Amino acid sequence: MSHKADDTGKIQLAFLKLAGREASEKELEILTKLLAEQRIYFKGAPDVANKLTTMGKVKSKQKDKQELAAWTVMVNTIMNLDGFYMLR
Amino acid sequence: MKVSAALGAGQLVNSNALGGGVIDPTQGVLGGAHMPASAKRVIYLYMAGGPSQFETFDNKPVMRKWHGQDLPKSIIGEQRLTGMSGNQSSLPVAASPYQFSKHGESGMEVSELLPHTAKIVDEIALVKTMYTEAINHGPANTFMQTGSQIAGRPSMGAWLDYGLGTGNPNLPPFVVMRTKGKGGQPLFARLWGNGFLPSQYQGVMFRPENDPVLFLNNPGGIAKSSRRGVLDALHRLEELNQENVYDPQIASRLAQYEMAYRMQGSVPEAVDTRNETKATFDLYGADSKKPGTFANNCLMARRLAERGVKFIQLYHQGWDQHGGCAGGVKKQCKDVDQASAALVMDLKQRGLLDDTLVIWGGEFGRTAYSQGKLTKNDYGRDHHPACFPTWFAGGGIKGGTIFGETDDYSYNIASEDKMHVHDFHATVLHLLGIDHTRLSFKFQGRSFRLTDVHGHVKHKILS
Repeated sequence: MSHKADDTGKIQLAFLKLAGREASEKELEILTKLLAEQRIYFKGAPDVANKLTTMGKVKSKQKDKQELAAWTVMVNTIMNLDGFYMLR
Repeated sequence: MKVSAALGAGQLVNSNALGGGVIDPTQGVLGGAHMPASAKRVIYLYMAGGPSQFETFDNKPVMRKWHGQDLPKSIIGEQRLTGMSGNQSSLPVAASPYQFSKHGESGMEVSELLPHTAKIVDEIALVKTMYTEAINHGPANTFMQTGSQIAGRPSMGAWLDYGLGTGNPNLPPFVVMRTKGKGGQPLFARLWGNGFLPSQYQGVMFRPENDPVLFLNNPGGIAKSSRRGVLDALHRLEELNQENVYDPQIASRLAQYEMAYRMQGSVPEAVDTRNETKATFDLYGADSKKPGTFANNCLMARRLAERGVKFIQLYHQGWDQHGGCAGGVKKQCKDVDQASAALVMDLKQRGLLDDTLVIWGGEFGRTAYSQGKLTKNDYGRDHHPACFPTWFAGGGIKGGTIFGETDDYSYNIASEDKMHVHDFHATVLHLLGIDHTRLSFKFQGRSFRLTDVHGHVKHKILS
């Protein structure tokens, strides 16, 4: 299965890798909205974005820290879903 | 709130659907009490280990006369003894070396080891004839907290939270604190567990440290508004998911996420005692400034009660005097006496005692005979389930009441008035406005209650 490099494609790829299935239309809609909100938030709070993206062991090559922060929160959300840690 | 049509009405009540939409956290599953409640919240000072009645609340002058002689077989009757003293060649009567005197208008007898408790006797109802079926700590504690000796049932606090909800949804409805560094018999989380109820009803244990709840502050890079967005998205996503996966654990987990979010705002203020006056610290005693002491926990209990927490439970371990009873009980009493009394007085002066129920007691009593050798200055006491004291104060309690009498050796109950563990639970629920026969949860094919199929409200201690 190939995924486009746009937001929807990336969310879909993250969801598949973490929850083990494709996200539904409605789920995509919720996650896309979350991503948009987080982008707006981190654009207005570059310091917070810097802190979030420099913690932890992994160093990202992504230069746009605000964009990286928004995606970090989006992925973290998927990782808090029942579908991430329970095999049903 | 959307609930799949596949769920029956019963499950709907049991499930607490996503977002807490079905059960209002301030009303509980009952949607309000069955009857007018005389208490809105409970503070349970739990004396783990089994405090001796002989050195505290049950004066037995006759035992002085028989001190050192074998306890008559007619007194022991058919009662089982533990393996720790059951094989002793003799069971010598051990009289308490401590003096008792009468206090207050009620003339309640209290030992010299509890001088502060002696000052509040007219506020308390002393039940001398609590009794249990368990003879060892694990089952006895489990019985006292959950209504069953076998693990797996919800604890009292969990039932109350489930049934009635809480006065303050921003704090955990059921908070547990323990005295730091006491050792003794272990305490297990099942004592404040949710059993088969959804897991958000379990008690939240505060650490006996300066920082009672860890990780309240967001780590750098996480902001409140950003976190709110995540929680909102999680709710919407799990709501969709619920149509495919029906598991109440999902709703419970979301409820816990939300509680953690709210606690970030509410807990720092609730546990900050810096603005308490010197008079307050003096009332609770010098220990009350030290986090993790029983006295500090009592002060915290009052702060949490003020803020509407439904069930606050303090555990004070170390009441298990198999040996060194005279000195051991003295030390234990010193740990808790002043602060227990201070809590009642402090609640009273703030107008909170009228609707707060305070309970003080352990899981069983101790034997009239000495476990191990009886010497001039020392003796031990083994576990004794057939009678032991517990006191109650506050909302709905008739102060100055003495309920029940034991025989000359506090070995058997000698009155009609007695309170089984199930009666205890029925009475506490009654005070909170709950008919104990009408708060149940269906599990594994049948309805369970805190009192199972037993329990009688003991009206004589009620005002």
